[in-house]
Amino acid sequence: MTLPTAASGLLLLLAALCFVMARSRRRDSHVRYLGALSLGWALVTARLWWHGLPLANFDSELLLVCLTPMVALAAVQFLLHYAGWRSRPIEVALYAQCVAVALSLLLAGPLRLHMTASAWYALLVAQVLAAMAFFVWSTWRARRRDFWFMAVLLSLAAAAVAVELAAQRQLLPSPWPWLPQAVLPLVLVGLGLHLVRQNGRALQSAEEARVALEAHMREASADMEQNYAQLAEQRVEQVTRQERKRIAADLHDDLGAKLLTIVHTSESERISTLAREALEEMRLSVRGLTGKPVKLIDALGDWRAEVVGRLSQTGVEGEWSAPSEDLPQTLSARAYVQTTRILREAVNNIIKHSGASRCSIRCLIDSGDFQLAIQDNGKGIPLELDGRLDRGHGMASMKHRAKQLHGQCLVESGPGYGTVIRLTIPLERHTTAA
Amino acid sequence: MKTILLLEDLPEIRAWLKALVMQVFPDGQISEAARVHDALELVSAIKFDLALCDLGLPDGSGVSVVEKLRETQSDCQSVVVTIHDDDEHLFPALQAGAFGYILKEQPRELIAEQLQRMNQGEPPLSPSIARRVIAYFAAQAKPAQPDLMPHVSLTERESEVLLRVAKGFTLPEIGVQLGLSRHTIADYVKQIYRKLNVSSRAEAALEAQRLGLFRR
Repeated sequence: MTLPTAASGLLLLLAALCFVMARSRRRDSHVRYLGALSLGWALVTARLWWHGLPLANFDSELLLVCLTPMVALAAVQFLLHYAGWRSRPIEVALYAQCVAVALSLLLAGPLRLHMTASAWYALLVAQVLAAMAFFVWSTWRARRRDFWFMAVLLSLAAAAVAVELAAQRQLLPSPWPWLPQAVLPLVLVGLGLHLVRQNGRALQSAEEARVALEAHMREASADMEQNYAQLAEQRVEQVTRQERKRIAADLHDDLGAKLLTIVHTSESERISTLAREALEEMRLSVRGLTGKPVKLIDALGDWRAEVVGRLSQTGVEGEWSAPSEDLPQTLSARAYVQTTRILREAVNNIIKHSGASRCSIRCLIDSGDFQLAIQDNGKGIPLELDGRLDRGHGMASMKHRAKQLHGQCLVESGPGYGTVIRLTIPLERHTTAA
Repeated sequence: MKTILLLEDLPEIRAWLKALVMQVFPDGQISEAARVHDALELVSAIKFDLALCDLGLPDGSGVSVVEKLRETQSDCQSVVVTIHDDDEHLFPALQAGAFGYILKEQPRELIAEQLQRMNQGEPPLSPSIARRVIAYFAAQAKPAQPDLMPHVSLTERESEVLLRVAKGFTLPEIGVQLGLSRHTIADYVKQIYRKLNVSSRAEAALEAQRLGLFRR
């Protein structure tokens, strides 16, 4: 195995490698051209060791010279494409050049073969050198990472080509001629390895991009899910509100109008009052069924206005104490409505039955419970024969309502002591996210 | 001598209201209407001092009559008389320029008292309405509406009054707390309603403009 043979073998391998790589990366046409260049150069230098070509001397020379423009084409195209500059006119010109070379040699005939060939060689070398220069300039401008590496390789190649030319003109002593044969294949292999490394890097960055994309997609779909859940919630709320409006409107139109007519046309005070209370109940029921949760601080405001207003109208001195700071808790619509009913019932009793002159209402929040204490200085609830409190006066319904809210309602009463109603409602069960 | 408009479609209720109004204003001249259409005609013909409008009528809402009164007869006190006690119905009426509201099912004496109060310049204001007004003006103050001109906002005093009403204090109590007379507090409430009306009209005009429609 001699050096030229080894070199050619190496180049053939490189060409094969390039073509295989080019198949998976169709975008990178420069790889194909490197393969072509390797193959071409391997064929050109094959004459150094392959002597068994069954052609006449002239014909083999002709073949060789025709091969060189193709090698030049591959080199120029490789450099241009690798620099990122594609030009159709140049490509067409290079192919045309191959044809022109062949034609010119045939026309020149065996006598002027060497002369024509030398002229063409000069031209081709000039083209390749120009392409190299362009490549170096272009990568310098683009500040590519591989600028220095490529510059060194190309300088070596250029030097090798210069030495070869000089050797051909017998300008250099003989030890040097082997240099181009050793250097150029190595340069090509270096280029090939560089491309392989680039390929590896590209693969890695593509992998990283894919991972990042996946993470981004996960985030985006989590976002979308959340948005969808929010939208669905809003939709449910909207539908509920519409239902509420519809029910309320229906009730108010039919039932409300009829009850109202009774309120204002009945001659019996009691019937009017009953009809009025029925109307109030109707409103509360609609609200409790389909209403939105109420902030505790708002509920306290509503209750205060109603209770203090009613007490002052009937001449009972009212005292209201409740936490005044902004409370974060909310009551479900049902809890609000039921507590309103209990409060109304208690105040009704005070106004109608207790004969009290003073009444105090205290509200406070204690360990997660809402506590309401209504106290009056009236005559108290009469005891039944068995010593227990008279279950009339709506006590039973108050206790029942409190129990429905998972709370409790205690009543203490006695003559001279007045009456105290203590209502406790746990807030956690009815607290809904504000 | 007061000219009074009564807009109510249920005949028994209308009769009852008329009797009540005559009791409160013995020298009142009452015109009745059972439909929005008739009421609007009356409004263009007669100058009213007081209008009692129902909201739910067969051919529309009493709010349109309130609006027309506000536009053409701004001295007229329009009072919404309704069965609905929720702010969803009452708030738009107030935005349209209603002076106050009366809940229909209340006992006669109470309604008479409320009418008297309104006559003396003290409109009603419940905690839920107050909360709604606070929320409305808070939304107006957001910088997302920079092009809303004129920018109507509440004074400090007015906001204070609203907050206390929302907490459930009665007007006399608020007067005591702020060291002002009940009458002054009532004036604040009137101002608040007026600003609400002005702001709502400006907002509506802007919206109409944005939609490419034009109002007179």
